[in-house]
Amino acid sequence: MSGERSERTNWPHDAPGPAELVEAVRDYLSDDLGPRATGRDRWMSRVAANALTVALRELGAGEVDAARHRRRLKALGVVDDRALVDAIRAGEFDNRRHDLVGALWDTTIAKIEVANPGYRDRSLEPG
Amino acid sequence: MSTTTSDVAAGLREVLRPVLGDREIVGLQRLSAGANRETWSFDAVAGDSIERLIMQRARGGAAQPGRCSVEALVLRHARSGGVTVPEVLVAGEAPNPLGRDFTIVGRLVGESIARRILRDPDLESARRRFVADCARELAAIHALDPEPMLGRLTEISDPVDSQRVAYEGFDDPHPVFDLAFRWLTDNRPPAVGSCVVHGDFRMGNLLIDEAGIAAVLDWELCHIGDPRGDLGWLCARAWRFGESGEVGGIGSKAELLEAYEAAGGLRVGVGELRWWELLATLRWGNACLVMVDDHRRGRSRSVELAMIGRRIAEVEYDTLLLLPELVR
Repeated sequence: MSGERSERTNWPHDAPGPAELVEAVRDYLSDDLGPRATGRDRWMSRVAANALTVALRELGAGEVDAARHRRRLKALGVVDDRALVDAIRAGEFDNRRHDLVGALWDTTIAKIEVANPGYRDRSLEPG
Repeated sequence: MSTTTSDVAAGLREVLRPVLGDREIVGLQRLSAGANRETWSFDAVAGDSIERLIMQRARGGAAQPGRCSVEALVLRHARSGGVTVPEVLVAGEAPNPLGRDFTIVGRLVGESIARRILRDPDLESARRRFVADCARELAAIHALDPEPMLGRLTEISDPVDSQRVAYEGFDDPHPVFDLAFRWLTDNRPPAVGSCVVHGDFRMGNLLIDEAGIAAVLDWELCHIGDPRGDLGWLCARAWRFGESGEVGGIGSKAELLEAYEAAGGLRVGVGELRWWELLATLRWGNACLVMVDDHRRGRSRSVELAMIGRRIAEVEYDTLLLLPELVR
């Protein structure tokens, strides 16, 4: 989050920025409240801390991911996911499945890297 | 309509009188609130005689109020057909003293929490026989005579279409889902005869003790359909709870298929199972879409449901790994 700190000199709002605030709450949940909680509260504080970890990862990667996603959609000849879904349903990719699967795989890797990177099993992924 | 614990206790005394005589209701507690029903645990006591019981009844305003009595019917047939299930003591449809459709069954002892089943040292022997146990139970379920249940159970004639229509109903575009539904539609395995299908046979719905499967639970989604649907669902990665075993985190698919056939089930190939596993993965994806929609539309707000939305990335990851196009 150091990048965000240095960029905020020409920003109207004071530090800490959104990512730093989210990070502070996440650390409170995972390092302070969570270990003291019991039963359902303990579980829910873990879920809540994990939700903020996902939010932090997306705040860090979101802009780059979005730009790459737009490039992939453009290469497939569609403007957004809704148009892509319509084209798949209309059979427009039946003869270009390889391109489609490649693009969807890249998107899915970007999504899982934000949502739950530990879920990846690299031994199963294509070379 | 019965709402308080003392109302439920009074209702239980009434419905139990014809089968057990006058009983005192002791230790009544509500265990969980599912989407369509409530589960209550209690003892019915008369002097030295104690019956340890579970009562399930339809939730107030539930979408499928008649399901509890259908389940009782299924449980009785399953038990006489050799499936390991709790014994139904009494069941009834509304109107009755409990206010809604209910089923009362014997309370069995065992573990149903997946993480404990997968890790508890005391359950090592159960884990060793888990795949064979699942195969035997599934073969017994699929061999049940559907005749007495026809007309009461839903019939799913096209499992791909029913999931695809559910997905398209969300109007929430996930191109991986569309690609997979198209592949499933174009590559259907040859049809087999319909039979009784459990519909939710997986780690989490199986009660386990040291001797293996103590009961097959949660028959809410039981239907008439393709037996291979149960095999694919059992193998979906969502039910491995972080472990590497392909069958509920424990065994291998090849072992399951071999044991299933040996127990009298159909011969199912690994490639065929993969098709059903892919469909099961999308079905779990649809369940995730339902849950996150409940949160986002405010029907049921919780950080847990909100986080289910991000599990769809896992569903898409598994879906692509199961699609042959990616492997090539």
